[in-house]
Amino acid sequence: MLKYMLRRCVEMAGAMLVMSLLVFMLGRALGDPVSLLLSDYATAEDRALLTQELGLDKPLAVQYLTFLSKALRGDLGRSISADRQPVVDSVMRRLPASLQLAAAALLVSLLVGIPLGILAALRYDSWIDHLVRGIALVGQSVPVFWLGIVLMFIFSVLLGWLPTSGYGQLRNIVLPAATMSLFSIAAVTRLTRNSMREALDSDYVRLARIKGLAESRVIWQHALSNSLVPVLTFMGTFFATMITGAVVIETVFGWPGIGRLAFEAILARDFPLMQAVVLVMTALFMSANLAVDVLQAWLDPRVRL
Amino acid sequence: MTASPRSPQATPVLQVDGLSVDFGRADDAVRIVDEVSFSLAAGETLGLVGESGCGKSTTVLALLRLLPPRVSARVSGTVKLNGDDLLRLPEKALPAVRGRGITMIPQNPMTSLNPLFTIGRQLEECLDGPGVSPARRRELAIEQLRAVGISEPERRLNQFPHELSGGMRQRVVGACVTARSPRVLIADEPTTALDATVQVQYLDMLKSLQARSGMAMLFVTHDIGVVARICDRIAVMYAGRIVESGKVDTVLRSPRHWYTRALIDSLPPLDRQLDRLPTIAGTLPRPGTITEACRFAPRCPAAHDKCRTDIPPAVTDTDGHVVACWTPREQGSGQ
Repeated sequence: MLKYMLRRCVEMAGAMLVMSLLVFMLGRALGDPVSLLLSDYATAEDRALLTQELGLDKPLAVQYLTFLSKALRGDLGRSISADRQPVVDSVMRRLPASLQLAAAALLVSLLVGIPLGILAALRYDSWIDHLVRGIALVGQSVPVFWLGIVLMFIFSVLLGWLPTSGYGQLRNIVLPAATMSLFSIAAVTRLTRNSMREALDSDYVRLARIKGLAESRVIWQHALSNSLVPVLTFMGTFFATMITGAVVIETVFGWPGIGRLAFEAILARDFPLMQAVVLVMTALFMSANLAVDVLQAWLDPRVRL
Repeated sequence: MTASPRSPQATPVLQVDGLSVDFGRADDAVRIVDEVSFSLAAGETLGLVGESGCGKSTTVLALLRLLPPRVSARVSGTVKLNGDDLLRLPEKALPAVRGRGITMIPQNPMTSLNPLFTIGRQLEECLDGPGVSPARRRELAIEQLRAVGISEPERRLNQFPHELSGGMRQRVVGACVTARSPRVLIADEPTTALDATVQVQYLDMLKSLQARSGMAMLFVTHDIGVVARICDRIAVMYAGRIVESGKVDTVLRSPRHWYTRALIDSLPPLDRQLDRLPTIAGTLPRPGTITEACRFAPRCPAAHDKCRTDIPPAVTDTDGHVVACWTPREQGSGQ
């Protein structure tokens, strides 16, 4: 188990390295940082000075190594906006809000999706099953930005129950979390229903019945544990969707997370900030996957090999 | 070691009468198992033989009330286990009957154990009950693993199914289903998925379990060699009906039904080389196509008009040898 985790960590470090290279290359490919940083009225000396200061006169490989060693020490440069803040600080300041939102959405989608999926599987081919499958289909088809606006219109504008935007109170998180979780609720429901169905039809569930186990034990221990394996696998992907989907949702609801930060960085052409956001999102995505892999190894002994 | 065949008068543990299974909705239902009857006495082994698709597995799943609900099967007849009709028990009462009264070793050892649970957990859950301490349960589990011939049982308890070979997994399945000392064990081709050498060991293991507990065994197989090896009586099934039954010696030495004869003839001989394996001409009738006739008639060398219009009744001779045929082969006319 420990060996497995160690291996996964090394793999993750390798992937992060590749990602840092891509982010660095992208930074160099998308335009001259000097022109971005300086105003149109800068002189040639100014340009030369800044080029030297930023180390842009050195070979690309050296530049990358500098970038990498700084990145490892938590320095991804400064924002080009007026305040010239270190970008890592900006990202870290925005991170808690994003994590709160993603965690809330993940929690909601598991708490709603798993029971719905189980219910549909146990009442296979009944009206409940058909209803649940219908809802799941709609939930996976509705675009996030549209859903966000519709929910906002109904619950904030028409009913006045919840604020349209803001951050800090529990009522603020309800709408963005609901918007974010609808897709994954639908996905978790479908996945749970199908894997539960499969488990209930399996030979080991039949053997559990042959052994004379009570039906509750057959369903809640033998069938459920197996049906949760694929759900777990997809949790990593859901989490990724929640981080990337956050760009739209955080912008719609004015949520101060890194999704909106990415949006702001793009609008302001704040390249160092975008780099930092991309790298942090990558790291989050990979950590989520690692966590899922570890959970899975804990649940399924065949993975530990 | 083999338990001696009981006299027909002995009260049977399991008495199956007119068991029929129809698949599909009422108006276009297809009969897969048709009026199957047999009985099993304690310590006795009955071999249920027939080719693939003849309804053997459907019969045993119906006995255990394990037909998947989605096939919408209608089961009729009676299945009396110590006097209780299993087919009329409420769903809630089934767990108490399965495992203790009647149990089964299914075909595929590779998928029958839960991949996520240790062998110990899967075995111990069959052993718990009021007044059984965890330590005692573990003891019983080790004992049970030893009984099915598993080496190093203490270590196995902490292993997962994927760490065990197919033969060992099937032994574990055997240990699980017999843990509560059932009265009847159904073995549905338990050795089909195993190597030939492992097969024989497994059969011996089953026989020794039976000798210890005195349980009755229904052995489902398409392998007549296995039947000759371990069964006291045999019932030959064709297209959902039992066409001949009786003591293994009698039936295999002088089969009276033409199908049994053909089945025995299609065993490859050990003493000479054949270019082609012997076969029975034709194929099983599609379920539902033959209703009011002998189902073997299209493939039978002795078929005549009556065979194609009337179902032959089961006739019993003095020796308990039952045959359902309009013109059975003469007695004692084995090769």
